[in-house]
Amino acid sequence: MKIVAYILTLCFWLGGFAAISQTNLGNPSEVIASFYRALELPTLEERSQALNALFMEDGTIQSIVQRSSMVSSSRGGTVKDFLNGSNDFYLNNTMSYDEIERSIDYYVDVAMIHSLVFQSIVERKNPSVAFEQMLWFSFSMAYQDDRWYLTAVSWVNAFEDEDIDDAMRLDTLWHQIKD
Amino acid sequence: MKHLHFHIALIASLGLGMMPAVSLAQTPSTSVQAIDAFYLASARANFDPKAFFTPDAHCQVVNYTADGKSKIISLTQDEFSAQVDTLVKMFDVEQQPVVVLSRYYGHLATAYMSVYTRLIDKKSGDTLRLRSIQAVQMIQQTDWKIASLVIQNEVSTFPFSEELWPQELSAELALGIGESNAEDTTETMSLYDPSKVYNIDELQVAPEYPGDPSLYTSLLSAFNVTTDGDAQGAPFTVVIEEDGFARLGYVGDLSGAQIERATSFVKSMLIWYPGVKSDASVKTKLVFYLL
Repeated sequence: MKIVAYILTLCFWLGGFAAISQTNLGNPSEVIASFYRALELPTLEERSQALNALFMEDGTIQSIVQRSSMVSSSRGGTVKDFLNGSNDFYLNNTMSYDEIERSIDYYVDVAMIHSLVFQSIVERKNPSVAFEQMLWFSFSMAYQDDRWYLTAVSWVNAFEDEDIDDAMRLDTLWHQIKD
Repeated sequence: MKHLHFHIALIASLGLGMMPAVSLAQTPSTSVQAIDAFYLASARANFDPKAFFTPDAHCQVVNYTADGKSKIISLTQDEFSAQVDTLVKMFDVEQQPVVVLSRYYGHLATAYMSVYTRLIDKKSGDTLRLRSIQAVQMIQQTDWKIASLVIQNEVSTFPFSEELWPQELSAELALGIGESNAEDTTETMSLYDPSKVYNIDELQVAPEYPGDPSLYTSLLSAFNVTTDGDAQGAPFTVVIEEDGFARLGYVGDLSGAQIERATSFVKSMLIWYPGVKSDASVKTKLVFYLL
């Protein structure tokens, strides 16, 4: 294998996407922005409607809680699984997401997007209690019916052993073909 | 603002409660090694999807309808495994990632890659070579497992970039595929016209109906259709598109009722393995006769 420099990656430094008000799901960036907005919605009904509109029917969500470089736990499933599994937490907290960096790889009707975000969580009962962390999101998308759909979203939190900026670092690996 | 430990916040943020932690006592194999193992195993009989996919994983494949619109087909891991079984019964399959754009952090890894697939028909010896883009998300549990796989076969009007199919690697690849060499490959890759509908005798590899041959025979007999030009039937043509979808072509001599029958015949077809010219999938014209 041979490692070469970063290729095919378009990086966008974003100062925030809250100003985006119109949704054009023919644009992958709008799908990502809409996804984060959906995660911020306060009620299960709103989140359900918003997320289901973004995902393909069989779309999946995987979350990884990384405690250290060697220890993690993960949970995955359908969008419905995620909505039901996270609802209790949403009842007690509000969340906001600020996207810091994004990269996209795409070919015709397939796209893979990576994104670093800053997540803020505030307790509803006691707004002085808040948590903040960085997350790395990976989005897989496919194009159908004149728009992009999310087929899978996975994310992992920053942990102390390794800088999460490394998540955006691309290795290009060349395989020696054995034919 | 009060800052707490990151992982505590994440657990809370997901509302997922207590989850079993995975502790890796030994240095794990890499996600790229897991990808290599997946492509090797999924080209062989008795592919075990559970060894490579997470339980909820899906595979999405981009296909195209006759009017050129994308249509996503979603497969569970068992459905994906069934597709592999069908393929390896008919072909000797070889598939390998060529260029892998890899990212990872903690126990999440992704790869966006070009993949080379070679299919050799077990009966005729004909060879079909395909290129595709595949995107995977992987999670490390005890081993690296695929949580999502999306596949897009090459679209002839959008050839791969040099970055995803470097000349250095395609030259190596050409050395391994019969009589071709790197220079020949470069030359022949430009010799097909993506808009042209080819006759079978112009192709390297003719289109092939998937599955057991009896499926094709049954289809012909169900609609009282033959490929025998001496049978004195009413001729019509079917075009097999680059992505394997069939559409009705010339129907000039058919009556209204016959056109309806021919249309139903075409709509009942599975997705073909498309014809190949100059190592690329092309449109192919097939002639049938209504009896």
